[in-house]
Amino acid sequence: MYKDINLFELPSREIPPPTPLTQLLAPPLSSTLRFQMSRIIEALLFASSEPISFDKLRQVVEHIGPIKPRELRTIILGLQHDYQVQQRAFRLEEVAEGFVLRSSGEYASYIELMIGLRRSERLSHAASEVLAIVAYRQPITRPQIDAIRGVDSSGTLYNLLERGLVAAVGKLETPGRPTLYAITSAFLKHFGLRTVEELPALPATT
Amino acid sequence: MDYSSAPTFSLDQFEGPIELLLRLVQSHELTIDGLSLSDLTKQCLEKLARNQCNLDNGAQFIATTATLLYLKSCHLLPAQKTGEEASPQNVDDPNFSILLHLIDYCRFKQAAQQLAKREQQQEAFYPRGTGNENIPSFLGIEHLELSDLSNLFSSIINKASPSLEVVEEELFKVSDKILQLRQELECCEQISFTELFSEQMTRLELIVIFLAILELMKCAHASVVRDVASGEVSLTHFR
Repeated sequence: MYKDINLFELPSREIPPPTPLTQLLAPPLSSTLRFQMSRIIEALLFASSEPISFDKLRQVVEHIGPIKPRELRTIILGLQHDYQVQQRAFRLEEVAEGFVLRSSGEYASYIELMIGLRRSERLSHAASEVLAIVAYRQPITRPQIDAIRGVDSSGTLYNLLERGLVAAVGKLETPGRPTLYAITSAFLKHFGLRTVEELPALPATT
Repeated sequence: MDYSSAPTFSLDQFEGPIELLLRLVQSHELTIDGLSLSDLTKQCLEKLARNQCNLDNGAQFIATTATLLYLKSCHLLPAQKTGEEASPQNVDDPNFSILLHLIDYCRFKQAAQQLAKREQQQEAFYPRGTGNENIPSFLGIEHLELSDLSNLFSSIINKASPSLEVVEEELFKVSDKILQLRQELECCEQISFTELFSEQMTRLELIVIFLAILELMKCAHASVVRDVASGEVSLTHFR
């Protein structure tokens, strides 16, 4: 009798019972870890005057341990809730696809006293018109904006470009290859919007 | 919208600020046919002459008035069919495109008002670091003197390592070769490629000649043909 020799056969091993999938993907956060993460996020928000993106927060926080997006969001919402409950003079807001601390509205007048009304100028009629057109019809070329408004918008558009509220995003593949414009994250920040989708729908016809 | 400060107009059918008039016309609460064009223009010019509006509203005022006058003139003038430009829809109803355009513009005007309102609301919320930030807009180049720029440039130039290179004149130019080829084509009907590209030529010259041939073909001055029998490729006049 010959015994089949199979070179590929491995000596039989004890296969460990499979770890539950949930445990494998993300171990539940301990409350201390959660607290620590929350403090880290608070520190980041404190140090930044610009909105910090969700991904950036996650990237930093994951230095102390893996975290699921859903859990991170819960922590952020928790912070937001804390500030509200503690009646802080600032709020955690989601603006321009990021998170940022901003003062509450009721203290605006005092801040103005401190900085002496050095806030940037408000937009002119024409500028807000052009911005509205760009926001709702982006990407759009200048001739298209002109066509809607019926007047030349180059000066206004130039000002908006300088203020960084709109930016050139490409060229339209037509003769002359006119530049296409779209709104920027500075626009979202200026108007306190999270994304452009948060803009109210274009008013219906009157 | 704040109408209180705007200059007012008094016409047969309407009394009030011009912005309101435009909106009424746009929303068809007033027909523009009934409005007196001359009255409107007269009053408009008077207001402008008296400079009743400040600089901020001035431009807006002129734009609004001009739009109104334009609308009125569109109504008065016979519909002009501009051949290909007019799409089938527009031919049926000359007012159609203007109307559609107006409705569109009206919507954006409202959206702009919403935006302005939002901007005002958002002013109450200050992000961290307010007050020590610079003015957010770029200054442009108006604040720069010519001397600033020249100083800047010379400082950069001084930093740059002086590298000297000999700029040589090109030995062969595509434009020269094009001229040459065209002259040769004038003399003889057809030049074979073996004649064109001789073995004594440098690699550069061969490339330049080839580019010249492509250029001539592009401009439809010459074409390349192949003799079926001998299989020889040659350059001829464009046919």
